[in-house]
Amino acid sequence: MAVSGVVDTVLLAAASAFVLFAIVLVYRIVAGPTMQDRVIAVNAIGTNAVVVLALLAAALDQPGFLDIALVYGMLNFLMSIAISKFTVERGGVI
Amino acid sequence: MTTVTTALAVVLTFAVLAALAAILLRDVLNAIIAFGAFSFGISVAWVLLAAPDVALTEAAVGAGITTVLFLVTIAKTVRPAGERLLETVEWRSVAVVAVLVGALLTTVRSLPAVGAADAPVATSRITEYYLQNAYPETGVENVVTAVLAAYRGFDTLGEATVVIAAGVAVVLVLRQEAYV
Amino acid sequence: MTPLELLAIALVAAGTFFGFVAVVGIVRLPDLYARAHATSKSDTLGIILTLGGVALVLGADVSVAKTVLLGAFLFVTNPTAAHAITRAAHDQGIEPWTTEDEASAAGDGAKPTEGEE
Repeated sequence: MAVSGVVDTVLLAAASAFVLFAIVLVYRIVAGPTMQDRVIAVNAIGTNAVVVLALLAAALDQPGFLDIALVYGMLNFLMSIAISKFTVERGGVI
Repeated sequence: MTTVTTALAVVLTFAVLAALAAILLRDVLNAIIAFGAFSFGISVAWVLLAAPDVALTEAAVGAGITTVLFLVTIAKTVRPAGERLLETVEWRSVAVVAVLVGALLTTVRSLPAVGAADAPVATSRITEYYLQNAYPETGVENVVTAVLAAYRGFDTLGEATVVIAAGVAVVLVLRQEAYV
Repeated sequence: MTPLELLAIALVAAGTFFGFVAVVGIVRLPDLYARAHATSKSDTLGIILTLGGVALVLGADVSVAKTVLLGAFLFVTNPTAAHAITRAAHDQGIEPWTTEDEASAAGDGAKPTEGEE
């Protein structure tokens, strides 16, 4: 887990920046005003999560983290689709 | 290591904010959406604490499956009346929770540091035994998997049985409605 | 610092910038349909650039294939998710935001045609 070199520091700083962006997006989740605004914000947070996990994989030299990023990306997509389907036909998720 | 600590602090700040949003939002669907954001913070925190398998579970369960299960559940409920965005806060309950959290936080100081070499889990004879004998005895390369699936195989089998029984029960309950 | 590392840092910085643009768009733009542009376009570009930098840092390995796969997957799904969300909003009858001029122009002329669903 050691962090060495300029590149790794830059990658970690970028990851922290993306998490800061996610903190800003929480404002949109709280403020709304519609359900879809919140889903858009959570979708953006999920894609930020994928980027953060990929950056951490490179910075900490743990390529296994990319698998987590892949799983997160797929399930984030699933979540967005499920919620948008749910808001149209209530209860029609499964 | 300090950059990792900084990143962890930012991630945990995000997780706390998302959790507050999930608690305070009045409409349950909004709370579910905020909870999906919360799972991101927890997942990245596990990655930063060098527990990628737990992070993988959190990513799969927190972002995907929990959301869908919650959606299926609240399909049976109605939305709260009124336009109010946030839940009203019951301050007496908050006081009780604050006292409890404060009491629990006093024990944190006696915990060993993260990754400390003299932590009981690192110096224990059992840890040493598993690290030395897990691969020769079970043939599984990951020690955690070896403990879960080989040394405690019957325990895991029982857990899996409970989970499958719960899943079958949920499907049976849901099938009585028009969700098939 | 090799040229490859410099290129990786530049890519990650550019990706972070476009992620920032996406966040500004989601927070500041007036309504849902405009905000969907920020997440589907700017955020996707930021992801592709950042993952490009990550792939350069990881070097020639199977993990680069994973990174490229991740980028291709997000390149497809991110706009698709934004489209699905906005379509759900349109099905629920949420009106797009318009300026005063456009609103009065739509009011004077023929009524805008409804979707035929």
